[in-house]
Amino acid sequence: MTNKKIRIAWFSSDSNFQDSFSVSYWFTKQIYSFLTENFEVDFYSKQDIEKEGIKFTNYRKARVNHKTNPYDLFFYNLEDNDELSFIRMHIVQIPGIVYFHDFIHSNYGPIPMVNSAWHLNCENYNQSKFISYERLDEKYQKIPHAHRESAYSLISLLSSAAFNVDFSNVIKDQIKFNTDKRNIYFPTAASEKFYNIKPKENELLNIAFSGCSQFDSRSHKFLPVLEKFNDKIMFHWMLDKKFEGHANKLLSENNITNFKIYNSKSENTWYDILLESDLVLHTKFSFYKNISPFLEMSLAAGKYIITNNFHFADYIPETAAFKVNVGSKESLEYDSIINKFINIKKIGTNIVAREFAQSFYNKDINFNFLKNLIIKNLDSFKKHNALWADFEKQASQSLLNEMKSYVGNIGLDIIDPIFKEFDWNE
Amino acid sequence: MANILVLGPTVPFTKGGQEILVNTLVKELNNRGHNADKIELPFNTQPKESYLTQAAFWRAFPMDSFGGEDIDLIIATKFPCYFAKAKKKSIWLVHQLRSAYDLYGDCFSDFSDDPRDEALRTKIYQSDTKVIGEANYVSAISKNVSNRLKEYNNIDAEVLYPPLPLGDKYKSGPYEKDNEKYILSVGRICNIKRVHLAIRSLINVDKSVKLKIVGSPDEPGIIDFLQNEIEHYRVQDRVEFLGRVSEEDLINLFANSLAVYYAPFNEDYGYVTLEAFASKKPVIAANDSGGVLEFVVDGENGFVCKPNADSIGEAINKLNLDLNLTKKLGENAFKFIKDAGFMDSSWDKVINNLLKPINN
Repeated sequence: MTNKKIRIAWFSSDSNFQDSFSVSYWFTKQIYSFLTENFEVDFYSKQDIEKEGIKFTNYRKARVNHKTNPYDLFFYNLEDNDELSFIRMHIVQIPGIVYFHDFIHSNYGPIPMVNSAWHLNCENYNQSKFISYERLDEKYQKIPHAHRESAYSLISLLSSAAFNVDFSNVIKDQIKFNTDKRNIYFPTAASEKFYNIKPKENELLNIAFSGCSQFDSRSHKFLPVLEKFNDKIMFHWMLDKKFEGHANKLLSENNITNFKIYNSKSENTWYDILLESDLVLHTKFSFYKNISPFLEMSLAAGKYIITNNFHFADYIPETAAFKVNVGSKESLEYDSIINKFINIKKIGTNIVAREFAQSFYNKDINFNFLKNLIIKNLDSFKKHNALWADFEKQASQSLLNEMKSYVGNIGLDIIDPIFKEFDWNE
Repeated sequence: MANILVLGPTVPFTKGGQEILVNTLVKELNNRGHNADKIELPFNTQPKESYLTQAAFWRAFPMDSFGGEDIDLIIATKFPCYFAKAKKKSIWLVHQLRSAYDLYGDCFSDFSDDPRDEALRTKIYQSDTKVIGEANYVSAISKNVSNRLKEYNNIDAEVLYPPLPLGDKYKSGPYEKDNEKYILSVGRICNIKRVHLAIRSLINVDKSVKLKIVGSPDEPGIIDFLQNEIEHYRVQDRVEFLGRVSEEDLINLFANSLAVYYAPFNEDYGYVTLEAFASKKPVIAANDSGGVLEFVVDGENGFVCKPNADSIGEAINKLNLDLNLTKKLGENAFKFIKDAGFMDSSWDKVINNLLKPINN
């Protein structure tokens, strides 16, 4: 007897985005070997391409392949980027697990989808019957992206604990898709090498930062503080290339001269920076963007971290990181913390941060958790796939009735042979 | 000499590149001694549930002979007329039903997550593949359209760029006339053409520069939307809607403009670009303007901007503040179009290819 492997259609980015780092691509690379060892997986992206040993297929073939050799599960990685609009579309075509790397409670952000009938679909799907409804005529997307995307997820994985709380408190009441909806905090994990980083004795206080140059990353609050310590620090700034010009401008405005800019975000670059760094800034003020996976890497590296006392960082213990309140006294708090570190000769390992990382961001534990989640829910996925197929069939029949209602009896005589020729009656 | 029918669906009350292309092709075929005529059926864009029914009518209509004259070839241009069946069929693809293809999932498409839409999309894909695939010769009006056909339907199409509709009638004029400088926008007025970005960009541009908009509305509510933008940005005295204009007026409008704004989203081809080039005017396009980018090269014959008002405003400012640069880009544009053969004999190439099924 052979054990047939569970078949998964995995959707993600197949590279970094045109102008920024892609968490879903990074995560796909990280979990690739584990996935292919345990499951039968086809990777789908926008195009047919082989990248770093992973063969991606154009997502348009997913449904075709599903018909000939059905998948047990569709797994969607979502980020706040227009380049992943194809995944946003596919979610509404076949429900599956959705991994929210960002969770967008707004109708701003990625390309909107107008005329979304998610709530009507959910009501119909709940009663396993497609009841025809008036088509919508929306000019602008009114509902937040997160509502629609959550509505179609059989299980929602959320990369930040704060997103998970939002899901429980807000989303669950809004969506009515009857799938015994589950939401799970599922953070990204740091690779093993980060756990082996040792502290370095530096002449200057080496401060690292992986945020962008815009307000939400708080650089306007801490750069004036760094100016004060200019001759005692070395500032390492890793960012997406599109922010480089702005970042240089800000550094110059704040008279910061000891700095290095790394204009491409990657795990390896951040690893190299952490080898040198004493203190790391992971500041952010955003309701729907996460700063994974670099925060997790810094915690695993046992670095002293300054973050904000806000949303995505709520779950980090006070003992593992300095949590600065966003607002009028924010700069003073940065000043006070950096000042303390300036005078320390040898900055050791932040043991609490590392231990916290070990319990939450352990690759083996996380990946095995995902594996078990999939195996345990296999029957449920199969049931929903069958229901969805039946639901689509009913919708198709409804469409056929509508199409034919646009011609009279004479017209029907003319078009019937054509409908037969193209199997449009199916 | 062959009996040829050129097929094109028409949307009543609107006029765009498709109508120009069909009319010019029929004229050029007749000029070469063929007996050509056009067949048009109205295409109703609403409701979408009627799309396949409309396609079925094209399919059902016998195209083999008319009035005792055998039809040697049909040339189909876009959805749904390429569903027509004939002994010999050429396709010169203007575009497919884009809302079911590349526009699906964004704000320009009326297809959404209604499962009936998905069923409709699937039927359209599959049957498009069949009816385009059965043609004896398949071509497309741009690389962009050809690439889409390959990407979605796995069908190869030769690229045949449509030559300029008014041939060598275009002329160049000053970039400023009677102390008036204006940016010209030409085309159907609808959301996807993004005229609103040109309007918004005016607030970043010197007040001496105006915007003239040629074309008729192609979407309900679009003029109200643009008027609202004009009021919101307080540029009432700088924007002029000219509606549809005569050939002569259009030539003059191109000739006297400072530059031409043409930044639609993922355009199939865009006659406007070539008309501007033939009038020695640089074109301001966007980096997601599709077929337009097959011609506009940033800093060479125009500017390729980000699709936002700041970036477009910056491009207009460059052209407005440095007329020598504007002139240079305009000259480059003209040279490009001349060297590429768009001004003269390229109809021969187009027609020779489209007639391959009956010449071979």
